[in-house]
Amino acid sequence: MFAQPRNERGIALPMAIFALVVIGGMVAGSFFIATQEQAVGRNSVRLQQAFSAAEEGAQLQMANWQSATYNAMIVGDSVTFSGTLSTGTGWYRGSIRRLSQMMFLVRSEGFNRDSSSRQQVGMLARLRLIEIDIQGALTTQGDTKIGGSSFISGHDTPPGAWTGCPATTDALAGIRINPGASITTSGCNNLDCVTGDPQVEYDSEVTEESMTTFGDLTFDELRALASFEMTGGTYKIEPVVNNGRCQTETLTNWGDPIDPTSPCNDYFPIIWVNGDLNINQLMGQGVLIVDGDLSVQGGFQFYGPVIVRGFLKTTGTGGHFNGGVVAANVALEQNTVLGDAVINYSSCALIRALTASASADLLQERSWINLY
Amino acid sequence: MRNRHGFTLVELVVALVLFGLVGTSIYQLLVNNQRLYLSQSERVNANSSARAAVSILPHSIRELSATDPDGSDILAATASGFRFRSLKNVYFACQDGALGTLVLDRTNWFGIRALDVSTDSLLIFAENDLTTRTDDQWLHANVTSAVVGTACPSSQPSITLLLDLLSGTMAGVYQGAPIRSYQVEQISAYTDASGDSWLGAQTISKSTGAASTIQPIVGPLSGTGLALVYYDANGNVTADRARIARMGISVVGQSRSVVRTDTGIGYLTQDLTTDVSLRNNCRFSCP
Repeated sequence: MFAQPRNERGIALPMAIFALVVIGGMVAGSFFIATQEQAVGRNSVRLQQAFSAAEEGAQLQMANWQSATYNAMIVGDSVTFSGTLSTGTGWYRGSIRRLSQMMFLVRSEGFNRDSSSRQQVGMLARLRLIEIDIQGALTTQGDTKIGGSSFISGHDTPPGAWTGCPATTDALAGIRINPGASITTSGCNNLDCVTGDPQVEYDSEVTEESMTTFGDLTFDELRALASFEMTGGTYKIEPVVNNGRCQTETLTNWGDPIDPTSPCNDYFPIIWVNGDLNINQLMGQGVLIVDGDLSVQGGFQFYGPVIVRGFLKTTGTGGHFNGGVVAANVALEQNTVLGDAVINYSSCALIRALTASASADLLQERSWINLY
Repeated sequence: MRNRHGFTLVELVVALVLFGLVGTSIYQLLVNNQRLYLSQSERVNANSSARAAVSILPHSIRELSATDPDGSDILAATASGFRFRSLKNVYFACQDGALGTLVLDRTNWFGIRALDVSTDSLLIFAENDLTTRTDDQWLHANVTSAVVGTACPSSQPSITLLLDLLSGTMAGVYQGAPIRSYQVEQISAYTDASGDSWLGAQTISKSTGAASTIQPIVGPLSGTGLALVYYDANGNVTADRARIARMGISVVGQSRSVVRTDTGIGYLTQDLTTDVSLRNNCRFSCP
């Protein structure tokens, strides 16, 4: 009988353990690399999500420019905004700061969903005014009949109820008209109901083209700038306030030019009317564009530029226009400014209406800023 | 004999053969694992190089304007690099512009660093006629000196710059106008002393026009490493710097060392391609 060996431990177990440790290390290393790659990839996605959120925040402010709020800010003031992406992949916050009378900085900070990544972009925006070449209280290319107790003035007249108007400018023509058109009067002897410098200016540059071109925009392109559109018809225009808020959804609410305490006092819409418009009372402000004829009565008061593709007709207690009226009169029908109509040139009403109603657009060049 | 324990020759040979087989297998396993590990590491390196390049370049390119009437921001463009105005920050004027002078708001600025008079030149926004946007322009100016003070309204902190205006007039520059500063830089692929390709950056002195020593920013890259293609607004390839609307970037990252691959021993490569639009090109009423 053999004696039991004292030590039967071999090297299999140590070798197996060694191999497992080494292989485990290799596998762990590979996993580590894969994890690192995944983390880098995930970070890239987060960064891109934050960037997209910042971009969307800024772009949305530009697309939905709140003229009534932003255009009324004084220089140096700012308003904030925030929102969440509809895809749920991120959110944004930022501010709109007025840099000057015409310029704004839109700053948007974007975050991914869990806010672990952040990006910031900026956009330089500029108010886009409609370039209306007002060189007379009334500009037209068609025959015009003036009478009753109507009055047309090319002298710069600030609206009586308005404060903070800039210094008045030189007087313009009372009526600026194409030489081929005639002016007839009825009760306005020697055109004594027309004042200006000159009283009447016959200008061959008053043509359909010149009256339907506004800077780099055509008449039809103005439509894209409108705050809203209305169909032709007969309307009473008046400010509408509900629970202390100006009801801008009401299409017959064109702001309140008279009461400086009204919530609608800062509301200057750009109104586009398809077809013939007949207004009977009351008041409004902004930019009125009529793709048809315009008839006014009942003492309707309007502050801002009026552009009419067809003819202008005022009767009865007429209309009171403060700013300037351009009646392109494309059908060469007769304008009639009768009754108690008043057309006053007012640089203050023009500038305020054009500025307050303006949309904003990115600068022509170098509008985008990476704010990091 | 007191101790007769031992192995027969046959046992010993069998044990040695078995040990050899097991050892060889383990060795093969270890070698393969190590090869896989190295290969993975090197692939990560190649990926990282390519990814970093297509991440860094768009940041520099997005803010450029090639259509500036006073000169494209892209000052030179080749297939392997480009020289450009690298925008650093944006300030705002706190006073209307005056002849040869501009006062900036010192507290409200954005960017990757503050204005550096020794290296930076300026682009100043001139609104000109307020009622139209078609005459807006960016004036080009060189800064000759800067004085820190409180010249902004209400004695707010300011930087008063003396300018050498290179285009336009200051009459149309109003309070609130944005001012963007830039430094001319160059990004290009180059080969170092050891023969490796890299993506490198240089700054260009505004006084002498001399380029600084090239600094590697991403690499190593494979072959030429970087291929740039310039497109106009219609999508056609263009050599006209003033018409560039989009840049196509192709980068081939390379592993730092050779590894055994299916086809033999060599470097691993990873190519990435992206296109970047110049977002600050003229948008309307362009000359």
